[in-house]
Amino acid sequence: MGARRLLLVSVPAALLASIVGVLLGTAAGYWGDTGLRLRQAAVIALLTCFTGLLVSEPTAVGWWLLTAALATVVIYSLNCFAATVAVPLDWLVQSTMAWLGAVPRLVLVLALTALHAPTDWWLTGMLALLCWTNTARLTRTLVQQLCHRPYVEAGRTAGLSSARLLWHHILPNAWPSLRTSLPLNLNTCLALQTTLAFLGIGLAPDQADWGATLANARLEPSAWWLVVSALLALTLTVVALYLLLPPSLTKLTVSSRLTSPPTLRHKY
Amino acid sequence: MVRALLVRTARALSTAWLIASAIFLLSRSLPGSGPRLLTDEQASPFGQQATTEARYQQRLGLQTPPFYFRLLPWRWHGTPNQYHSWLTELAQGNLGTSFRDDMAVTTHLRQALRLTLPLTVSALLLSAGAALLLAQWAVHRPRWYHWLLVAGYFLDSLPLFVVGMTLLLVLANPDFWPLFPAYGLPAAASPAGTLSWEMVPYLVLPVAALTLTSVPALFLPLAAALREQAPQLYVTAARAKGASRHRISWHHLLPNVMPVFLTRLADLVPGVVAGALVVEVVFALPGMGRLLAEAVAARDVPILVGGVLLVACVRLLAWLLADFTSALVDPRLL
Repeated sequence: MGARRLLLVSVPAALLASIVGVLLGTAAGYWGDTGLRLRQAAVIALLTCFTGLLVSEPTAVGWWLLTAALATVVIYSLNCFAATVAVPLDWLVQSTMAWLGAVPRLVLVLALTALHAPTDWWLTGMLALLCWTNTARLTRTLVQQLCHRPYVEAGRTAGLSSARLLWHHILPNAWPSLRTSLPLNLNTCLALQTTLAFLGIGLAPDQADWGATLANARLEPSAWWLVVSALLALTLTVVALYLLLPPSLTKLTVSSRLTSPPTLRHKY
Repeated sequence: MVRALLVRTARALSTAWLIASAIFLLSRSLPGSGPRLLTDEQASPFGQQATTEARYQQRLGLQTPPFYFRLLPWRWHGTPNQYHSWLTELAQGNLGTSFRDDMAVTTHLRQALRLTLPLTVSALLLSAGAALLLAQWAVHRPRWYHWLLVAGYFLDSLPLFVVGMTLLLVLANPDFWPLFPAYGLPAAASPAGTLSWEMVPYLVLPVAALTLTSVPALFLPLAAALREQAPQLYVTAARAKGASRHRISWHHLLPNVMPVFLTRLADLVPGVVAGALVVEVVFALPGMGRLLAEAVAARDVPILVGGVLLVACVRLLAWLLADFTSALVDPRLL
């Protein structure tokens, strides 16, 4: 039963966190603060539509979205709106990461789970929201480094599109390091999920979880097999996740000086 | 330096305010997220529930709108709202009163900190000392270093309550080695009482669990930095001049890795506070952790927001201290 919950909550949360982390990290690392430019008029139109959407009746949401889409198409098809403005993507991503990192994950996830009835999708969303930052930080650094390699410069000179550069040239080279992030995220999500269940939070009373089993086992200290089975299940999963990591990661962390592996950025 | 510190303080304070505001507003605006005010017995089945709830809401100040305005559609509420009164009280250092027992949140936090502070401070000091000694010892012993690395990664990847439960199972179990008392505090110690020597055996296992899980986060980067410094020329020069290994370790290598150590230590402080949350629940100690866990179960938002603000302030303080001590150790950072 605990394994079922691991599959239903932690795995989707870790997948979501890895995908969001890779996407945002790539965008922040590739475009930086000045690389992505949008037409000024389009930005103004989008912001106006967004404000309009927020202050009007909920039934008008569809109309505002349609207006925004039409306005963007019109602005990009006409040449008189050529002035552009830079989108500070890097700043946005970094500020969000700093904001989420200001309070330990466990405290934040505790407070956020308390605000909603215990459902799996809310817990998954909260875990993903709090876990994507490590992957994003790693991806951003990797992409920033790869962007200055001669072969990327050559591709840019040859006129390749950003999508092609990212998909065919940068991401394949970042992959060996990026593939570590899914097991690490899964480990973090699993730790948070079982800790929450152990504290009796975010879990419907009829659901089973390794953490909840351990919490119940405390009431009966002589039933050691309860504790041992749940402990074994958890420990073996964690060890198995670590064995998925390529051996180079451990060597890498030994030789690097100031950087630390993603797991060591305080567990909670 | 002063300017950088001021900027950092302002940024951290505004982050803390933003997070507390977000939690406060979410708690007041999400459907079904109000406090669980009534138990089934209190909510009488004879149609009086609505009036009882209205009375509760009046008492807790929940009858005013949550924010200055509402969206979808737009409506302006003005200053008589829950957020405004919360913010004004916060500016005066008042975190509000608990939904459950009408006691001030600051009183609750102060009582809880009486236990959590000794617990976390001793765990931090112990892990800092242990990490320093272990790293210095392991630098010159590659084989031991390898095994310590494996053990460090293993401990670091386990959730804290697993470590706590293992300690409990092995060292406080009447069927194995009942070396330490398992739960709670001695009967004589009231939750509001001061610390006494009687409590020490009750705190050994919690401190040990916290220390065990915190040491890897300090030991791994510190040992890596020490190994990086060991082949440097200044070490060779010191050795050529006849300095002992002990002197090289503590007088030449250590000052050079101190910034890494201090930054890691500052990063660890809020983690240990969060860890105390789990450990206190495992060992049934009446501290911050129990307070927050119970507040979550009852959706007691004032206590939750107070706890989050406190942890954010601890992090801010740790950062400032780390910046200051790093600048003292290495004046180039000024």
